[in-house]
Amino acid sequence: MELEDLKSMWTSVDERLKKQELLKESIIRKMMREKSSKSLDRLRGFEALGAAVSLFVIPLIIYLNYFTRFHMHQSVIYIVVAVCVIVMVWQIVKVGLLQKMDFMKSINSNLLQVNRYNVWIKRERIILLLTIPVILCLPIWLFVNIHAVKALQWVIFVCGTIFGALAGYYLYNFYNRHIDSIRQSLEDLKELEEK
Amino acid sequence: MNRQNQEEQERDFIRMIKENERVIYKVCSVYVSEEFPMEDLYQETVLNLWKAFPRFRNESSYSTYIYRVALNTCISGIRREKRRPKKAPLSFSAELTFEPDNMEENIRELYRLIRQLKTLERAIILLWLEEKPYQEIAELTGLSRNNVATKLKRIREKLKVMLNY
Repeated sequence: MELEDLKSMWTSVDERLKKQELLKESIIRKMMREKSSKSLDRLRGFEALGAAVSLFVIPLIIYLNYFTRFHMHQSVIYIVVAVCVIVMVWQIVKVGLLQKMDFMKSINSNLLQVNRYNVWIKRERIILLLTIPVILCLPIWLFVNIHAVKALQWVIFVCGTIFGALAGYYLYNFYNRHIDSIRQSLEDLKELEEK
Repeated sequence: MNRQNQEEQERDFIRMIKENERVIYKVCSVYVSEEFPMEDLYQETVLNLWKAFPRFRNESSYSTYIYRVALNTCISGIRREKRRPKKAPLSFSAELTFEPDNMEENIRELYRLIRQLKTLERAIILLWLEEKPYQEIAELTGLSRNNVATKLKRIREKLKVMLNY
């Protein structure tokens, strides 16, 4: 083989390739599925983390109250434990729904699951928005009535509120981004399957 | 970006890929190795093209843009792989069967020769085989025009030795 033969051989490679369809739609589909799976994994991970944190808070509260000097009113402990149990169960239910999604199954069934999940998240948001005034008003009411409240406590309260608002904004975008990504990929897949 | 624009962008992208799929294939084929199978390189290149697509401003031709992204993907992938002790398995196996196992013996030989060259040399010879002018090769590889000419001369001599061996 001579050096100049390389070019003619390269041209023949090109000619052969012209006859083939290289980029199969299945590849695009798989890439899209991969994109969806990443979003799904993130959502699953996030919900599981929420359940784990709720589970961790219960013994932490009990430990703080009974084994340290940080004492809370008995009713506060009951409320926190009850909220943690409810949140934990809710997180597990959401993980369960996300586990049902499998991109190797039919696109319609996945779309159904993701839409259901989206509805749940919207309801969760409404409940949270309704509870925010209570969460904010309760400490303010307490602070106003307990005259011995220090300025530092107000600072902590304001910082906590700002942090909560930022975290809420992040979560709002986090859920929207990943749910949209899954839905869009599934719709693209559906479109491809219909073609 | 609204849904309509996104759909339009996706359609444009798929059309561009379809029109230039041979370019991607040819670039990937000279960088294929055991650590970097064709499907991995091809997928990574298409994904990187998709990521870079919103920034593509028609300042260069589609083919130049594809050469640039594909070469960068393959070269950086190989460099990254050299630093990594072990490769993580892919999350899915692609159905591509690009490896030229059914091609004629001499085409296989051609690929074998090119793959023996250094990473940058492969890019230069690939672009030379694609009959790209020296100026374009220089722009795509980030070398000067004179450097391209010198390197190309050396590569051709190297290939000549390999061919006669």
